[in-house]
Amino acid sequence: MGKFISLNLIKLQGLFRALHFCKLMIVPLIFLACNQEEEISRASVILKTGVVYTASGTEVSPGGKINIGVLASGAGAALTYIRIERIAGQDTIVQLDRGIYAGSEGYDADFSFPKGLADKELWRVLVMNAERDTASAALLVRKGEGVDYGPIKHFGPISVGMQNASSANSYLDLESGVVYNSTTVSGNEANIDLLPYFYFTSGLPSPTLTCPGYTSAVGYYPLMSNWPVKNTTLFDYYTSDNMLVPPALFDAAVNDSLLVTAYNPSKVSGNCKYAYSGRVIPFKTQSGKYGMIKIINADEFEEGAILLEIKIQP
Amino acid sequence: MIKIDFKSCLLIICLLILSAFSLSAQSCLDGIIADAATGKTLSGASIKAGSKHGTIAGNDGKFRLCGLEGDSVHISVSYIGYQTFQKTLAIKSNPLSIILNAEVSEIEIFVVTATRTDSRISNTPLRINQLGPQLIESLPAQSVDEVLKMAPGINFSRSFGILSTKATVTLRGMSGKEQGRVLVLIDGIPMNKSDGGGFDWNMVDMGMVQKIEVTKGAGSAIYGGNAMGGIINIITKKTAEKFFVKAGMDYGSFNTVGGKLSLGGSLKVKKPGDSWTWMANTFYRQSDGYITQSDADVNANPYIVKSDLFEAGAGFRTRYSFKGKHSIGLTMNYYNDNRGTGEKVFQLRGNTTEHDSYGANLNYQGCFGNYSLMSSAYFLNEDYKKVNEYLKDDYTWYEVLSTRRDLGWLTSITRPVGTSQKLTAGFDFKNGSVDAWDKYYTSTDIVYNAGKMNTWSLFFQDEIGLLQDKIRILAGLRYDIARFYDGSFYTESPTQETAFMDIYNIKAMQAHNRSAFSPRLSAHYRWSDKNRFYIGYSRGFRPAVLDDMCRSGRIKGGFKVASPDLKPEYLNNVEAGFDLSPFSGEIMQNLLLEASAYYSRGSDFQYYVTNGQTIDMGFGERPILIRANISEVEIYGAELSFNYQVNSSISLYCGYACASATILDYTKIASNDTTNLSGNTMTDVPRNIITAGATWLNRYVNSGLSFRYTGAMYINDQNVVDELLKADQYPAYLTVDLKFRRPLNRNFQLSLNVQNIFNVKIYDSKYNIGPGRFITAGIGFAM
Repeated sequence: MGKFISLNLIKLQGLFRALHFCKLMIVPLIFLACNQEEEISRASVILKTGVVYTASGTEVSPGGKINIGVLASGAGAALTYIRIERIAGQDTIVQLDRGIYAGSEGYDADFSFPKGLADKELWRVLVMNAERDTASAALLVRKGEGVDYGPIKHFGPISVGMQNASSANSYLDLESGVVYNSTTVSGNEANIDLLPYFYFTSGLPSPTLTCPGYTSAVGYYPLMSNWPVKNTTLFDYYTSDNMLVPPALFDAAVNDSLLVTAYNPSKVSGNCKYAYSGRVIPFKTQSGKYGMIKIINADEFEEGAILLEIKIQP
Repeated sequence: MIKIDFKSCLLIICLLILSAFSLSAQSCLDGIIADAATGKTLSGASIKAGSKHGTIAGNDGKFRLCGLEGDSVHISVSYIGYQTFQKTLAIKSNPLSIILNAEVSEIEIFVVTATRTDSRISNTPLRINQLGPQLIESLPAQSVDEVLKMAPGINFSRSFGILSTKATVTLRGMSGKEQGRVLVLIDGIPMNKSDGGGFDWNMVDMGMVQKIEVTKGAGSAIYGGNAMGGIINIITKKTAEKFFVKAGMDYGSFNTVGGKLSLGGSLKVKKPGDSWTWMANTFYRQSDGYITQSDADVNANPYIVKSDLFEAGAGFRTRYSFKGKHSIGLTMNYYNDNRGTGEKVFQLRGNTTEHDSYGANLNYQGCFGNYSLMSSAYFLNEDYKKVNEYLKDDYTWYEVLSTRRDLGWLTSITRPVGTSQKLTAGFDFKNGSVDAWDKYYTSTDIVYNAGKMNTWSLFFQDEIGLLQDKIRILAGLRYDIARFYDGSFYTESPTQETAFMDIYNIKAMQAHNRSAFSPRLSAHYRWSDKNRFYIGYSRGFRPAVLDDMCRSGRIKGGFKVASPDLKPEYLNNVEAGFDLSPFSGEIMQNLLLEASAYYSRGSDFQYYVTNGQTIDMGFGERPILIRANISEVEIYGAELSFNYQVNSSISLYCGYACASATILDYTKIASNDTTNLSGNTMTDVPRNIITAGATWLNRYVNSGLSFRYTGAMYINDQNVVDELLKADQYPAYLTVDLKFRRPLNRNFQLSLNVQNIFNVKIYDSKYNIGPGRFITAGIGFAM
């Protein structure tokens, strides 16, 4: 009798366990089936005002600078995206399209862009947070009298060494044309905009221009791993790959007109492959200066160097 | 929570009183345990008497249990590799002689995969390999696919061990890159997803696997799609005991912790002859993992972290059998994993993949006169999520969310004709669908893709025995017709991340039908129990997968364009082989030699091929690729295996397989395509595979040793030097694995697994590195 009861108790416990297991399986499914109203964090953006920023309705001559200051918040969710568009009539040109990550501290950044030829340009700033909520702000800029293309600085020829070069330095400051070596660069990290390296990609030899802010550059220049500041230079690879600016045009440039108009902001990267001899590469530095590089000669080995000329806004 | 009320208290008190009374009537039980086949005594067998008493048989197989109460006792005798003996016996029947039947004799003779009927292996004119419970338990495997790698001729890939998101098991010269050319079943239910053709091997709880049947060669005549190289059927455990609990925990390399629990039993049913069983299981594993990327990648990317792992699963199954002729079963499974893929920028877990999978199936088996009917309805759902984040010059973060569903109804009816012929016919219906999006958080883009496919099938099969079953003929024919519909691919709010895809947006792809005929004809001649010769022809096909038909997107080497018109691949296979037991003496009679050779020609094989155009996806021009039926292939090879059961405790096995897989003809779809793959060797097919191993069961330490050599294989279709690996082939490698198990007493067991003892480093096509040596130690409990 005792054994019978004991056996049945065990069976009963087994059944309870099985039922409990089923409950564990089914209850979450029921909860999952219920729709829950989710609270979405609202993104917000405002454009900064003050003497250094272009106010809405201002007249700016073609080539003149439009300065936009952005203050944005994800309101509880990280801010993850910013886009700045120039809208002129039916044409919308994306001037900046960046993934970002700004937490509770919000996003505070200044940008400058050249005024185009259109009579009226609407500059629209759009931000989005991690919950994909967007906010936007805009300012209207009218065309001013005449043109405002500015002077340029010209450096070169400059030899910049590849990652394993011993005969040429590798750390280039595009705004001064100075090339530092691994010793002298100490203390000048914030000035470095360009580093070249050589590798094979897609079966092709590729002399490549990169910048400290491009993550994988540290693989070629491990010294940068501890740099406190890493500038990002955006190279217009599309203009380079398709050789849209002939070297003669680069040579003829006497003001920054070509520098700002040749730069195609929708086809840019911090890494510019296939920087072969004869190519002209428009770029924009971290500090917002437009420029162009002409490749005079590019070695195709890791110990080699790139000989180049630079034209850049002062 | 179970409440203990007054009645329960009363019961417990009564039990205690009864126990006290019974103390006055204690006696002893003596016995001996022996092997049914050889009569030899079995040392180390576990004997349980009732719920309180137990012991282990000594060297001479004898045991003695004292302190027993009453006139009779329920005896349970278990021993690895043998069927558990259970009976209520009178104590006065002292001394007992208990004969155990080897488990293999019950389980491994019968197969269900090859013909969808219960057939003896010896009566099936095909090459079938079985991995039984004894072998499964003795291999130091962390997942069920790792068990399969020890079967002869298996092409196995699991780059990062337990941390791998994807594993593949293929055979007969099929590329190890894709699972879709080999059909995977669990208890007869097809598991290859319609979306990508793959199967998530991680979701199988190894503790629930009873045996694995591998039917080699094309098998679409009975199962339809995906059965080109063969069929792998994972058979799960069935409950026979009244109540059992099994639990285990293990700890090992990379701070890996795992645990599993299974319990089950039978419920009492009033009607005689009816039975109701149930079983539940759950498992959990987590690991800190290791850095899978190469040193160069680690140097170049400060955001690289260890690839880690969390996974858990649960299952419940029940079966009700009635009138001795019918049974209905229900199975439910759930699995969730979250695997870090080794890069973390801002997100809490960084780059991860997650599978949230659940499924259920309801099946019926029954007899109506001479007819036996099997019918199963199943539903499988996988919610796949992949988080991608990286920082180059700006931050990119997006998620791939994909719901993949497969459901179906499989039915077959079998009727014996006379004593040596069996006719089977049936129909299957399957529906597969995908509904997916790539949702960007660092831009406004969302990319959608969706598609569905229905498949209807009819099949017929005849198994004929002649000359007292010395000759067996298996003939089958199946017709599948599939309809692809509701396909779509489009982008929403595109920015420069996806704007280049705009021209490929199709919100309503054209529906179309595809069909396939799959015949089989094979026969064998058996001149004795263990000696036979077989020959056969069969056809296999793989349907186009939804991912290729309705999704465009970045892939390695370019941009893939959706190809809704894609047709299935076909493979015609002829093979021959023999089984031989060349010796007849007492010692060598258990040596079995199996050999097969096959020749296959494939048509309409699917490859990525350029359409002659390029596209800028944000980092320069890249070729546009499209999946197309452009290739004829030739695959041939041979397999040889030896199995030698030295005695009831020692068994040896080894296998050798060679395969040649060549692209015969490559048809370009663009005149400016400079690629020519004609004459090239297919990728990820090792030329040679050698496996060997031994298991030794004894009362002290049960041991399993396995060895596998995987030959060199080409990395890319062009058979050229890969930029990363600086070679055109993955180098050959050799791994040795070891497992020890030691029973502590009748309930507890310790185990030690050592995989890849010599810490061989294995690289994948991205120069990512395998885990090397992997050690776990565990403790198991069974009641």
